[in-house]
Amino acid sequence: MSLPKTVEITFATKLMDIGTGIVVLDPSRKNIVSGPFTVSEYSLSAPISDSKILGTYEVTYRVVSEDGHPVEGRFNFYLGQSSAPTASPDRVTEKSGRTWPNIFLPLAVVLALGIAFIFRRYRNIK
Amino acid sequence: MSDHSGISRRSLLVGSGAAGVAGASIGYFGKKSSAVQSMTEVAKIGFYGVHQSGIENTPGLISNFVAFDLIDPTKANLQSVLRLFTDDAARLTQGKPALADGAPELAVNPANLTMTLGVGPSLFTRVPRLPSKPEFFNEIPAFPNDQLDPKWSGSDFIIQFCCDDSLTLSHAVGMIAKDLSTLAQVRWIQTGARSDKPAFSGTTSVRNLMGQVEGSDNPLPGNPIFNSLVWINEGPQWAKDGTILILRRIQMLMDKWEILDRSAQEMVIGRRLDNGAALGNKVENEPVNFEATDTLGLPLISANAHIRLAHGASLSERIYRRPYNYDNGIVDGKRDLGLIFAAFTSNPVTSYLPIQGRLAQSDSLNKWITAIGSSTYLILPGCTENSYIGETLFT
Ligand code: HEM
Repeated sequence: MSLPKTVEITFATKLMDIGTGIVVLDPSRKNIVSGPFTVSEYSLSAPISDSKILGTYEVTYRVVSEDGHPVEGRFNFYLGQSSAPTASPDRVTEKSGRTWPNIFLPLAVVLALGIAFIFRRYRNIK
Repeated sequence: MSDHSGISRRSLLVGSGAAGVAGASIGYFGKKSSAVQSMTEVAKIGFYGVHQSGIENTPGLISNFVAFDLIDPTKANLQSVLRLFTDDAARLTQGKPALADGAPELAVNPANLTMTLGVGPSLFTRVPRLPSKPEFFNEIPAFPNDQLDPKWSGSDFIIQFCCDDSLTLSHAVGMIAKDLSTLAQVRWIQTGARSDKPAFSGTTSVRNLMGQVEGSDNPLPGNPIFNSLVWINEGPQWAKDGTILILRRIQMLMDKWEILDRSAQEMVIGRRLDNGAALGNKVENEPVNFEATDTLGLPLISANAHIRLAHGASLSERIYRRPYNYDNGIVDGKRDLGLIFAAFTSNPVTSYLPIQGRLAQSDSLNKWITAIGSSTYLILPGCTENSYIGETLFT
């Protein structure tokens, strides 16, 4: 059982690459983002290093939508079994052709209701 | 060639020695300007010195960067230009009318006028038999996002005028343009202004047209490394104690900028708008912590924030910025305004170019700015009363 090579979050709104940040913590709270992130039209992706630790992985990000609003959010995914209650996004899709047995893994996280929704939902984590 | 009073400006100066010049000027101005001259004990900045003025002193509130090309690029003509410039500047900056000044009353309030002359790389290809230029002094290469317009770029030489009074400034520019008119042609003029108030109390930084506090991390005169960062101390002797000016006209795309949330605007630079503090800091002058994170663990100064990329990778990779704002009104229905980015460095190859290279590649500010003009000049060393600016090129 292992992790994919990248985490990619897709948004309903176009992004601007301002103030972008992404941190992926493994269950031991170590940041496993292993290189520069990429901001494309609708998505933010970052390479992560391989980790075999089972448990909860926490993804925290900041993006700015095309209309100039910064958004910060956080969600979890699991390798193996859930070790904590989930705050998963509304809809999670996996990229076609790849399966991750036993992992609830958002290779592509589609936030169907858009970032405004996510913003409201996660803004209290500060 | 002649001014309206029929006295040839050049015949007074060029070709005659310094003594002849002094004699002629007393003869002409002895009575006429004495009353005027008694009013001049006001703000003025010395002209003579090891370095030219207009760099170390606090920038005047308004500026004109006037670019000239030699009409007939000969060594003798260049020398005449430099002599005329020196004579005019030595007088005008001290509140004294120039020789054969058509409006001497306009010269009496120097208002911190400085006049600073620099030569462009083109001069060394156009004028035969000049000494060679330092190898670190070349045209700035075009960067990917530049949209350079020749009407704002390059020339054989430039005169930077800075002043606190618009009348004095106009007079000085007009006087010089007239005096040089048979020798050199004005190619372009860039007019700039700076706020007359610091951005907030307790700082020397001022706001630019984007509302940002500018000047927070700038090696100002007095800084122990200022001299080595700014004044040339290698290469040919004639350039020693000069400096290199990089002058870029950078348009700000205000309509697009203004839709950004304030917090997004702050992320673009990496500093707060209200007090200029780096994100994560409380006050402007605290050392920047580029590793600072917010409560979520995300970096506060993002990978493509302007200050992260502009920050020198080493102590010598720094430039001294002395910018002006420009506002050219509405052109084709759009606001035409921005920054006259003026920076000084003793060696652009080891300071300016790497910084600009990083900014061109990924500065998030690039979305809201476009360089539309770019030039570089070697600001000649200063001179004493018995010489003239640029004399070192002829010895
Ligand atoms: C319209 C264009 C520009 C704007 C609005 C702008 C604005 C700013 C602002 C607000 C700061 C932070 C405050 C300060 O330290 O002054 C800054 C810093 C800086 N900028 Fe710019 N800038 C522009 C273009 C440039 C260019 C073309 C360069 C050089 C190639 C440059 C080099 C720097 C440097 C070296 C710093 C200090 C970085 C540090 O060490 O903290 N800037 N700029």
